[in-house]
Amino acid sequence: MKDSEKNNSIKKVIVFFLIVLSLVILPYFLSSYRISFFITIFMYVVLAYSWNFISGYTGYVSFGQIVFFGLGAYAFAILTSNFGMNWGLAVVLAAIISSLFAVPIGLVMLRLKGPYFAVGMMGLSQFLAAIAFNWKSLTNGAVGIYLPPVFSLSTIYYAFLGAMIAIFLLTWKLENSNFGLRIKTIKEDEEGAEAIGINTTFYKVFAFTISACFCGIAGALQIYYLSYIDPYVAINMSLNLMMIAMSLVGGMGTMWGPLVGALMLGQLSEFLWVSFPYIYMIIFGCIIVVIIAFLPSGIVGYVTQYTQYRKDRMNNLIKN
Amino acid sequence: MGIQVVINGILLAGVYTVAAVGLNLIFGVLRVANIAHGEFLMLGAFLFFSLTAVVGISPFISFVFVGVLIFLLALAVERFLVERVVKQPMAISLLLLYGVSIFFKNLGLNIWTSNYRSINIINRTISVGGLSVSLIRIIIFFIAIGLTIGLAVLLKKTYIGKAIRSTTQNPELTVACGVDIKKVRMFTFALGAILAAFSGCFFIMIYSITPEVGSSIILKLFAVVIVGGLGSYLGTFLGALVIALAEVLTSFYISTQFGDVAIFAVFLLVLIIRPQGFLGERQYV
Repeated sequence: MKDSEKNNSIKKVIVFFLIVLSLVILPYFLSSYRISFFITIFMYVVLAYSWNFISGYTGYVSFGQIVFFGLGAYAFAILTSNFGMNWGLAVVLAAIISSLFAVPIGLVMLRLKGPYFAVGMMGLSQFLAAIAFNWKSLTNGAVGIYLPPVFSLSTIYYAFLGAMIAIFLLTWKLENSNFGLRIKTIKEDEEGAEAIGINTTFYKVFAFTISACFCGIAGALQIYYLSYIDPYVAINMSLNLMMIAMSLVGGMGTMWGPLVGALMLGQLSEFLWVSFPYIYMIIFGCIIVVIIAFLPSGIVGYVTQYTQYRKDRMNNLIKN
Repeated sequence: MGIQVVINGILLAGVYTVAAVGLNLIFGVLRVANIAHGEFLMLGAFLFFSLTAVVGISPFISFVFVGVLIFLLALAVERFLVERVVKQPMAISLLLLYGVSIFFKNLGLNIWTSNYRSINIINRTISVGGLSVSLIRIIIFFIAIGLTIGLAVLLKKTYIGKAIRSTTQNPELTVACGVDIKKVRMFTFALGAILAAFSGCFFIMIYSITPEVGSSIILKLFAVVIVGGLGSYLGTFLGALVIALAEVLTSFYISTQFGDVAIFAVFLLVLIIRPQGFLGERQYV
């Protein structure tokens, strides 16, 4: 038994490396339009995994993770335009800044539960948008900041790929460690978790910070890609909706859910976005409603449950 | 000038109260935070706009029409969607209603476009001793108070009102007494949605709004309910007063754009210092 498990995990590692390798060499064969398509998809994957990290695993549904996307985006724009910083350093600093903001915000907001937390985060996003519009000396208000355009798309491609692999591995670690188990207990029963001696505040804030960090990275890289920022781009409410919808469709609180959801809805949105902006949002609203009402565990969750059910039935048949 | 701003704030509180009481009612009975409440408000406002300004029906009749239409719509939403998730964790119902709100918001944008709309029925202002207040705001304030009192009577005196209150206090015992709790939930959700729709009709008479109004108003309504305390209707009125005054005073003395920021600051302060609100019970926190 143990040997086969070991073989399995070696196989998994090999498959993982093959996929990563193929993604690394991919841009050499693609046109720049295709590369930018992949960049968008990677951004969705990063955002979906970040949202899943806090809301999927701890059960604290956040309607405002876009706050950290915006913080990272503005940090990047200001660092590169006002201080002329190198883009790589600026992305790292943007990630650090959004994590540093996430700790106090998490300590305050995560004391709230259920609707209080959700609405509080939604309010925070509007609060940040108001600041971005009005603090003109720093953000240049609604006019926005123009950054020097980027010539090499593949740099951004690799940066997003790195972020995606990092958040994927972190989620994998969360799924397969005691540390992650403690985060997952918060969703099941927070008081119970406290009763057996888990410092829930620490784990909640930790998950929140990781999520914020990757939202910040995605924001910074997205601004590097667009080479322009204004409050609508930074506090992009449809992106906020997208990351929630993608996690839900794939399956909230699952390892593969955000990936599946981001790939599916990413394609769909590329297809719909340009031609019908409002209908596109209507469809996303519908998708969320239908998934929650009829398939609450998402596609990946459903498949897992179904295979488990098949396995159990087979085992019962064999036993009898 | 300051006194006039305060008076406007108090009049605005009446409008907030009507919608927020509906939100509070729904939370009490269904234990669901109705994120889509702002969209019912928006739909009410824009249906009212279409009926009075486009079709040309008298405002009083279209007010009733709006009530009926939103009632039916909300019944359907509750029966076919919300009912499925009532028993599940809060996160699930929140996400469902989030989807509903996105759906209606963009449907509204599709139908009525993102232009600012308003309805001018009465254009007069009343001036007393240097203060001038527009007549429509005063009329709306009294209609709003009337609606709130009407709701209180409904809850105190009628069978369905008693069923609603008992469901809020103890659902299991209410079922044991032979009340059809599913119907109570449906009715309560629709009642809350009607109140939101009426409040929307008032809004479009006071302000110019776009179909996106729902997402900013829902935060105000939650702030009102949470500041006042979940489950307390008097608290909701107090909360509405605090929020409306905070909004109006900051808009007047600092800048219009900081109205929302002030609301959020009050909201956060109350959540941190006294999470159950002014008159709320500890159990919901």
